[in-house]
Amino acid sequence: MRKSTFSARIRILLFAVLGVLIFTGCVSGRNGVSWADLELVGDNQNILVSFRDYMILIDPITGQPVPLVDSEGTVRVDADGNPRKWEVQNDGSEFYSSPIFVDDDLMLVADYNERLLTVNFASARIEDPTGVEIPGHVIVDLITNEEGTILYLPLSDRDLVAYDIDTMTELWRWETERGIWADIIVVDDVLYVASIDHHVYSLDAITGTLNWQLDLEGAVAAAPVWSEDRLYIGTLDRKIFMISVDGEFIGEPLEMEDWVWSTPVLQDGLLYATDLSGHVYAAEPTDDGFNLIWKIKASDDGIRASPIVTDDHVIVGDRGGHVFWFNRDDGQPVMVEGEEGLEPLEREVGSEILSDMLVIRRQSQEETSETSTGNSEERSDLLIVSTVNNGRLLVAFTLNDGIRRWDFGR
Amino acid sequence: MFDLIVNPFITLLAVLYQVLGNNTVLAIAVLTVAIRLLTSPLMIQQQRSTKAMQEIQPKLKQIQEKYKNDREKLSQEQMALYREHGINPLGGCLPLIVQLPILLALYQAIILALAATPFQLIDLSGRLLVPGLDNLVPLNNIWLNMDLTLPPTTNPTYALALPVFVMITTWLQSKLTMPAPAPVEDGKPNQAAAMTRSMTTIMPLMFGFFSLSFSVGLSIYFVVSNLVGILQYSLMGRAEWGRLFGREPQETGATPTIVTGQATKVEAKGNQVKEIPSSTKPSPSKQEKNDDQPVKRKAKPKARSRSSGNAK
Repeated sequence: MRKSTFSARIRILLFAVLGVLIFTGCVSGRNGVSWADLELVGDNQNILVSFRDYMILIDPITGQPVPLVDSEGTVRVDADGNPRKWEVQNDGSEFYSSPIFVDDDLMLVADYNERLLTVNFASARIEDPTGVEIPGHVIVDLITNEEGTILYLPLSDRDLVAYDIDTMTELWRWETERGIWADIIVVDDVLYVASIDHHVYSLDAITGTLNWQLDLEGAVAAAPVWSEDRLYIGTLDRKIFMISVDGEFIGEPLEMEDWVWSTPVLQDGLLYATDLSGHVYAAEPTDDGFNLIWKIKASDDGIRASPIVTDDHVIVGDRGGHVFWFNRDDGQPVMVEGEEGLEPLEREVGSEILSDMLVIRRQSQEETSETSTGNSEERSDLLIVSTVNNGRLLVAFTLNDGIRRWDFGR
Repeated sequence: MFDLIVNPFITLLAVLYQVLGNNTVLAIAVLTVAIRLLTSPLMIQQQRSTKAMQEIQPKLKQIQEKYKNDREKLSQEQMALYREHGINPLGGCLPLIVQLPILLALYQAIILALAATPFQLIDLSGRLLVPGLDNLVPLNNIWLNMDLTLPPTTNPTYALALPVFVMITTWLQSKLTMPAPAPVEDGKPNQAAAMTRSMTTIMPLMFGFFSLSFSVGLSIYFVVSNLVGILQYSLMGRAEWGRLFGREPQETGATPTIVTGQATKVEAKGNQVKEIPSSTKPSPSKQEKNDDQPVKRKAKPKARSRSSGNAK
């Protein structure tokens, strides 16, 4: 009897384990909270990647980690005599926003797990691994006011908190209903804060008092952009609004096919935008709203990353792991000579693109770089694409013709 | 492919959220009730099938005993028995198989709808099938100061009550709806009954563990689902409330009425066992353990010689 009961229990246990596997296996899950954040650092335009529990500095010319050097330029070595690279790793931390320099050597970085850490840039070390406790999670960039005296901490849970940067004492806080997922911007001592609570707030950057607020009827997850005294904001309710400096809607919003999770780009009087249905738009902002110039379906996988707009092209990276080049004038694909004649310029990176892409202007950089080859082909400007896959964290293409330069995985 | 089921659920959840005054918990509860009611015909069919299978168990065992060395004949006789009683042998599993993806989809819909991070929210995009629901995103995931997207361990302390509720309601449901144990025959233990008893212990623990590890929103789904299940069984007259007070229901009373002729022997054996006082029940088990082993040892060579004989 005991043996039989034991056997029955084993069966039940196996059934339970199977249940757990089915339950967890059938639900798509991702590791972490958000995607990598990229930032260009220093004269060399090194790429600082903040993702999960690490930050790493990548040389844009070689695609390799930047070596850690001392004040005399000698590469530092670890205890085993191996050359050290500029990398910060802190077990238990999660970095989804770029650090901010508070002086030449010190950076502040927000750990998603409610910590503010100080990183010594010269030694690539966290000064105090436990950091300073902050009242919430952070997934977007920290910023300071124009004088660099006030640090603004946008919390994804609720508030925007302003600190005195020297003493780290709280100066004021602005409470939103749901939290801040979009980078905030500061223009002429005015903060523009867009929240997933559907509102955009204009605040005095010094005192935190409200200038005005608008209900956009949709969550905002992408940073607003300020151009020629107008604010442009995309929402998850499929619209891009144009707002005056006084907090008035200008004309009708631009209707999109799906959620807008990317920051629009304004160049030469035109607005370029993407949405999660995979459409790319070019529109002219007017006093009555937007004139749609062209709209194309670039991808079936949706586009989260903001477009890159060059003199001739609009470049977008989609969630399917493809990068597309379109002509700025008419939105038609850029055609290049392929194996079977002319074909659209499109490149595959093999994993989902969610982070905003970067452009590295290499001609000016080559002049200061020791690794310069002098080869004109090597001096092409670069497009840096980041994927959610650690093994293919960064991929570099030439900006104008999409030639793959290097891959970096970790 | 699975999205074909998940996306309508997410949409329905969003519609309910809108209709019910942006109340996520209420939306989850109503959707869970609706799904349980929609799948109740399948549950009823499964119950009927399980009961019918239970009722013919004695006769089935007789057939198994009789034709234990002739698999082909055994199969034919079993099928004949199923036909005679109008039973589909898969009738117990098929409804479960149909229900499983629905329940998994509901579970996944809740997880996706309660998106709390950029990674989660971006995976929700394109899943709302009805226009005009985008302005609801992200759904309000705070309830009684608890974040529905986080596990109870990272919520206020009182959130830990939810896994306890889940365990209690799961236990209640298992206890009330557990089929009555079949009679013990030939001193042999009833494995199905042992398994059912184990289920009553393991399932609440398993779901309690789920609730502790997964989001609070999921705990609400478990609790509501269990309560609806108990209500459904009660309305069907299948909930054995007496069990809560230690009263076991009468053992498969239908057995003697269905099993006729040769079944007399089975019924008699069942009765014999029933008459044994509970305090003396372990004795037959010990006896069985002692008796079984030599029998098995003897039976093996016989079986081998028979099968080799058949082969020739």
